[in-house]
Amino acid sequence: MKIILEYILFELKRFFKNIKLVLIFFISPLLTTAVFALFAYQSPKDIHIALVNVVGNELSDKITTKIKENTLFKVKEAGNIEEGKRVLKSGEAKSVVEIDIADEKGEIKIIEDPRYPEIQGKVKEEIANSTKEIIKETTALLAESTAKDKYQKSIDQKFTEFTDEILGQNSNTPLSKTITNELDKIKQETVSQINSQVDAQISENLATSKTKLSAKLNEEVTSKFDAFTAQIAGMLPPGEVANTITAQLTNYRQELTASIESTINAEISEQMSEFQSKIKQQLVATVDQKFDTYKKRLMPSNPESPIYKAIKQQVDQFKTDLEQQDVDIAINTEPIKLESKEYLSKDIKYFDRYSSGAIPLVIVLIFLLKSATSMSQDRESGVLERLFSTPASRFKVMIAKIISNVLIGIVSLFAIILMLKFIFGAALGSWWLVLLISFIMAIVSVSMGMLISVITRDLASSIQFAFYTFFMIVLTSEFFFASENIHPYFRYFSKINPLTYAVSALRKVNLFNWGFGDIWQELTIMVSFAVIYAAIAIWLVSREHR
Amino acid sequence: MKQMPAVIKVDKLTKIFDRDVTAVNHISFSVEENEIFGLLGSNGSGKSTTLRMIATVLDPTDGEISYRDADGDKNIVRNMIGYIPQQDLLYEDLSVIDNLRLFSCSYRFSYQEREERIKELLQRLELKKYRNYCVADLSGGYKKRLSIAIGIFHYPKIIIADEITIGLDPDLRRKIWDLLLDLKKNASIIFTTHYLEEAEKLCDRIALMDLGKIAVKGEPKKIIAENHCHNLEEVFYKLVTNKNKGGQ
Repeated sequence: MKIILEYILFELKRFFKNIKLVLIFFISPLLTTAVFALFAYQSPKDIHIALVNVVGNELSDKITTKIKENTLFKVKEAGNIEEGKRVLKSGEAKSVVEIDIADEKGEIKIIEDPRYPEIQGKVKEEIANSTKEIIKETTALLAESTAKDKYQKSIDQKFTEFTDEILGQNSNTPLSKTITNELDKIKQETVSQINSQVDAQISENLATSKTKLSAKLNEEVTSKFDAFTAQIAGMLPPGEVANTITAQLTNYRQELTASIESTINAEISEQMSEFQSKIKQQLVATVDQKFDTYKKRLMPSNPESPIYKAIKQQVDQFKTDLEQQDVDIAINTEPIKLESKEYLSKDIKYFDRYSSGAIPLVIVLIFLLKSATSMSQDRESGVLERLFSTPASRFKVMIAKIISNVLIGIVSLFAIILMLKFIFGAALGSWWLVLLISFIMAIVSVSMGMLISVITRDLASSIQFAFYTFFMIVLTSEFFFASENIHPYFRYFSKINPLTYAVSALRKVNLFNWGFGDIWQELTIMVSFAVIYAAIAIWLVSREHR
Repeated sequence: MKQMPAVIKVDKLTKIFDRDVTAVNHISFSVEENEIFGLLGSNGSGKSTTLRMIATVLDPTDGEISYRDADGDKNIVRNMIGYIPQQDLLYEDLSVIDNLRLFSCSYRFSYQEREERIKELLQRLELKKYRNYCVADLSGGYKKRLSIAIGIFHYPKIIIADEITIGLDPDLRRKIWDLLLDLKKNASIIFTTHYLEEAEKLCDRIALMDLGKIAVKGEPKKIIAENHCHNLEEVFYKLVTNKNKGGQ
């Protein structure tokens, strides 16, 4: 136990004797955490946007003013959408907001820069917040002025359709069909009733008439024959002849009355049947005619029909009631739509937003760590001191180290780019520009690594320092956090980070297919960083051993 | 007969490191042409610091070092001197021949001349067999041979050798003595050692350093005689060890 404690004490002593290592070990994590906190300090603020007021009417001016008043935004006004896009391209704005509203209707279009996805949600949210009240007011106004008209038109149309449906000229409407069917049914019943009544009445009257006529004729014939028989019998001597003739005449009378009766029956039946049929025909024709008249009078298609009038009156009343009601109309239409789309010149995948940042990040990782150790390793082993005792120029030695480190890393660099392109299908722009940016970033990283190596002097400190530097430059590169997220006092730290420019240049080339003209500024700044780092490193090396 | 100026003239040379550690404190001496000048002293007496300043790898805090025919131009000085450090300071991951090529590339030699010189040195220092060996795989003796080869590659007029015989077997030490005596014909040598009999044998003049200062300097025999001693070791005990004991 004692030995272990002693070892522990010695280890601690060793560590604390190297003041640089102590500083790096304790200060760097604090610094890294602070940088992380400061760079992820807030939800986006001071977002630069380009504002395009297309029409410039009262409403769009009102919205423009409201957006300008939003303290979250730093607004740059653009004359038209093309100018807005130019502002976006130059990096002066992260989104273009186009207000295209005429006659209280239109769109607020947000053109988003895909390089800053974390900003876009906030822009949309804030534009929606800023314009919410105005859109609400406009919607309310529209509901009063236009939506009700629209609704009225809709009611008119619906009621016209409804009336046409019920009362229209079309006899196939359900109401028409019902009325027709009902009238037909009544007509048939009426006809049937008339027929049966005519038949019954005629049959009854015919039987009575026939009986009366037969009785009367029988009575007449009987009276005449009785008188004639009496006359004949009076003329004849009584006896058999008289009896026979009288009997014969009585038979004649009976045959005659029977014959008269049957003739009357037959004749009257025939005559009555004809009459009956005619009567029926006449009655049915009358009924048909009458029912046709009823139909015409009753059919709802006839504006003069009482049904039409009654229904129309009811429908109109209902419509008037509906119109007069204070209806709270839920309007589905949005008079002002808020739309957003990305500003892209080609299709990109989600991965592409980050692959452009990943390339320089890996470059820094490879080259910075490699070069940061190269000088301190040589210094620690003492060979550098020996080398500098020869006429070897420190400048040449440093340049040679920078170039050799770049050359060593270049193989990895190619491999990374090829893998991203051909295995992961990353969207890459111009190959030569991607390689140029990567190459310059490699030089910057090596120069930075050499500077670290010169400052730290020993290997352990170099590794630690390089590692924290890597974290710091990644955190402050706008790769993870846009400048709008950064604490306002530290926002410009990202501007003194070469990785910011490499990420920016590669995103321009890969996401938008922009050319050299669009990235020369980034390249110039990166080269300047490389020169500055290398110059400081060389100057420090030349001042060594003093 | 006009006396030649000294090859190296050290005047009130001082080196103070961080935290006020005075490694070298106002020392003055000169090294003449074709002489072996020995800097002797205990550990931490400032010998190596003095040599590093003379080899231009360390700047003095105060004082001056003048090199004959250099006019203060460091580049000329570096072409004149051959520095053989105590810890060899070689590229361990490179081969013997690559170390020679790398350290020699800044001298004004044509490729042909360089290759021939390398060949010669490999032969002379018995490194030919090991020319393609990685330095890390060499023994201490061979590393020292390589270090010497690098130091004398460009025919330096001044050879600065810092404890080059330390830790070597007697045979190799003797070979190195012979080499130094041979090199002396064309160069001035300033070297440090802990082996006082070695200094007595090789050095034309010596300076005995103690705590950054020169305790005594001159020809070894004269110093021994003036201090009524039999050898330098006795002088060392008398002037350094006993004095420090008294001081304590």
